[in-house]
Parts: sequence; C-alpha cells; structure tokens
Amino acid sequence: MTDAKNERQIKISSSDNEIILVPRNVIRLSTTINTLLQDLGLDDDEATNAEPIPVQNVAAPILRKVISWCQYHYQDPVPTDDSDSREKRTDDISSWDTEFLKVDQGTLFELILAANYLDIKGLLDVTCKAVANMIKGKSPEEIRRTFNIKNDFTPEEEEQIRKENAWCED
Amino acid sequence: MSWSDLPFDVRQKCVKNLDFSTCICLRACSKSDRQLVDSVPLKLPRVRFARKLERALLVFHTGVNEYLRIEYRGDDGELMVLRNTPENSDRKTKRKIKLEISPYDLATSTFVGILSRENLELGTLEIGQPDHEKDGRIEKLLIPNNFRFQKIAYDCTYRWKLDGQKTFYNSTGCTNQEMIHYTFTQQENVAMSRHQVMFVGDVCDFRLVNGVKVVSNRPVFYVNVPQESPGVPMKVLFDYLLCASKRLVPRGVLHVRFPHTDEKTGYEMFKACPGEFHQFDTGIMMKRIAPTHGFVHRFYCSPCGFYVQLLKENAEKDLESAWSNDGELSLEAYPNRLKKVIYQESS
Repeated sequence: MTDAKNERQIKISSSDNEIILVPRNVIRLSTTINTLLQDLGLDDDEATNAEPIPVQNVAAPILRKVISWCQYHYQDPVPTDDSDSREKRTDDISSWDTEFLKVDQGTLFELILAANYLDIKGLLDVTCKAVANMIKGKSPEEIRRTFNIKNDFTPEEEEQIRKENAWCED
Repeated sequence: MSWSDLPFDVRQKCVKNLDFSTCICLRACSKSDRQLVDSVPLKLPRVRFARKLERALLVFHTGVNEYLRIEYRGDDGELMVLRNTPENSDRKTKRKIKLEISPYDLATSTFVGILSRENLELGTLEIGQPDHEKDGRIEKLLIPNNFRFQKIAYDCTYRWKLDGQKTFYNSTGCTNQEMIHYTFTQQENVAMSRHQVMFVGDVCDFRLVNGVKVVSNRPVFYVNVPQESPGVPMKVLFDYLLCASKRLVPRGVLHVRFPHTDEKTGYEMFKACPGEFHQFDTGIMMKRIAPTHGFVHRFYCSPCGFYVQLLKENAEKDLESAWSNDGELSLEAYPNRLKKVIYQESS
C-alpha cells in the first residue's frame, strides 16, 4: 500500500466541490474513472491532471470513505463476474470490511450508491452483503421497521400474503 | 437516503444475497418489494410437498444442506407451524396461529404462492402422500396453476402403473403429451432427487423388497430414506440390497441412495462390502460384490448424499454405454470419471 503513495496522483472533485488527490493505482478500482481517464486521453499523461475529474453524485465524506476502501483493497485480486451458480454467502466479509461498514444505514446506502456510480465491484458486493445481513432472519414487519418501508398492500392482498407466509410472520 | 431510494438494480443485487426465507419476508413488505423480489431468479433444486390426513409438510431445498422445513398440523384448535433450517435443526421454531383454515389448506396457500411465481426455477417437485389417501388433491393443484419444474418425483409409497386406475394422468386429467411439458424436460442427475420415480414400472419402498414382482423389463428403483427409518442400520440395508440383487437379476438397474450420508461413512460402507474394487475418480467407485448373482455395485458421492447403484455385471464391460444407457446419468456431469482406473482385490 505504501507504493501507492509514490505513484501518479489523480485529482477528483466531489459533488460539494472538494478536490481530493488519489493514487492512480488506487482509483483503478473504479471502472467509471478508469474509462473516463482513458476516453479523455489523460491516462497517457504521467503528470497529475490539472482539471479534477468530477464525481458529481458523491459528496466528499463518502468519497473519502470510498477512497479509503480502495486504498486497502487496490492490490486484491480482481473479482470475477457475478455467477448465479455461486453460493449465496454473506458471512465472508473480512474483519477490516466489517469495521469499515460499521456506519449508520444512510451512510451505508450512500456508499452503495457511490460504489454503483463509480463502478467499484468489490465495494458494491460487500456493501450489498452488509445490507442483506441487516435483514436476514427478520420477519416482514421487522424489515419494514428496519428500512422504514410503508405497507401499501390492500386488505385482500394482505390477507393472501398472511396465509402464504403464516410460517414467517411474527 | 432510504432503502426505497436505492436504484432498482442495486436493490436487486442486495436481494441476490438473501436466503430463501428472507426473500419471502421481504416480498411481503410492500408492492415494490414484491416486484423487486420477483425480478430476481429464484432457484430451488427441490421442493417437497407431503400430506397425511390434514397435516402437511413443505420442504424447500435451497442448496446443498440448506433447506427450510415447515410442518403444518392442527393441535387443540390451533395451527402449529414448525420451522427449522440446518442451522437450527436441533431447535424447531414453533408458532401457534389461530386456526381459520385447515393446516393442509394453509400449506397449499404457501405451496401455490411460491410455485406459481414466474421467477422460480424448480428442479424436482416431490409429492408425498400415503397410498390410501391418494385422491389427486395435490395433483389437481399442479395443472390449473401451470407450475413449471424439470421433474416430478413421488414418494416410495406411491406406486405407478400406467395400466392401473390411479395414475397421475387419471387423477389430473392430463394427457401423456401434456405431461411431457411438466416432467423430464431436461435430463437431470438422479442424485439431485431424494426419491426416484418411474412412470413405467414400480416404485417401491426399499423395505418392501421381498414383495417386488417383475412386471416389466424396465428398471426398478428402490428408495431408502434413513432419516425416516432411523432404526435401520446401514448393514441391514446392505443385506436388503444383496437380497434385492438376487431377486432382480433380469431387471437391470437398481438405484439406492443414502441421503445425508457423508463421504467418509459411505466409503466405509463401501469398503466393508466384499468384491473387486474399481475407482474412476475420487467420487466414483465401483465394486463387483459377488460373482454369483451377476451384479456390480457402483458407489458415488453426490452433493445430496452417498449413492449406490446396482447394475448388471455385463454392463460393466462397456462402462461408457452403461452410464449412457442408464438414461439418467449425464456424462457431462462426470467429465473426469474415467480419469483413473484402479483395480484391487478386496479382502
């Protein structure tokens, strides 16, 4: 990870116009920024880009958190594509990531949005797993409370659901 | 920022990480969550629906050693739902619900609700009901709801005869051609199912082996379910197996599966059996158990348990055709099975 500090820096700006410098190798995890740098011909340049790359959908606190995740993980093996046959596991989150994801629900959702926008597959995977862990084993009513979901079923629909799901209700 | 503010595709990604029962619960939260859960493929290798009188059992197998078992039964005017998963198999979650409809009808609601979902990809549907209660109630659910599954399997107590009175076709009014749509649309490894089914010939309880009559030249399948007959030691089952092999020399292939038998136990059983030992790879072993009755045992481990297959000795001469003639074992499923052949004399 220390090597990253000596490498070329990329300037990016958050939605609230904060400019952040991030090592090229670290931000390589973001397919969105990678593509942008290549499309703009900035990847051939050895120097730091004069004009920051705008990351308009992500505010500075979240962007810094995303970069800290990338700094820890940029040397990880490239994750493979999603496979439907892959076993569904959410208990394989590393201890570092578990600590990293000890945030409030709003921040977790912001991280998911940022990972999605920046196309950082590893971060998107782990944050989605964290959300799945938040609702695993909960009844519908508990999930509604957790995510502040409004029950908009009609009484008839609700009765049908109640019969179908009698085993998992409170 | 809340759950519903997340883009649909991101929420889909979260749902893909959920287990089966949590998906069901999320689906019951709101209309948009129902739409969300229904947009993600739901893969179930096996679903079992069994009934006895007004009691019912639903088991959703979601993966290797992963299942959700729900038992519906009426006790003292209340409905009892027993729920257990492998993680808490020693501890059943009991829930009492005020009885408004019969346990069987409530189970039917769950069964129909899940099996009618368009995103469901179901491998084997298992139906279980005692012979004397065969009234087509379960079968009649299948046709109007247009369920889709690759294979249907019936309990060992459910005996099929095409020329008999109580066939699937008779009880559902479904023609043979229509049935093709419902069953065997795709060749499947027989080990995926705990029960085997034959639409021509007999399906019979392993313990009733002495009552078997040769009625056709098609294979006969025996089913043994150790967890439902826990008092029967493996050795006794093997004795039955030998007995069966003697009686069924002209019949062809005999399948016996020992579900929930781990590889080590299965291998120990295999070693205890006298005969010549052939190993094709780490998962598939074969043994000619005795020269007198002209059968060989083929043993292999599968994700669903330990599996024993008896086949006629002459079939062993051409293993390639033996496996393909078997008609249900996919060669593609075992690409390395002929990788290594070891012969060794057993003590």
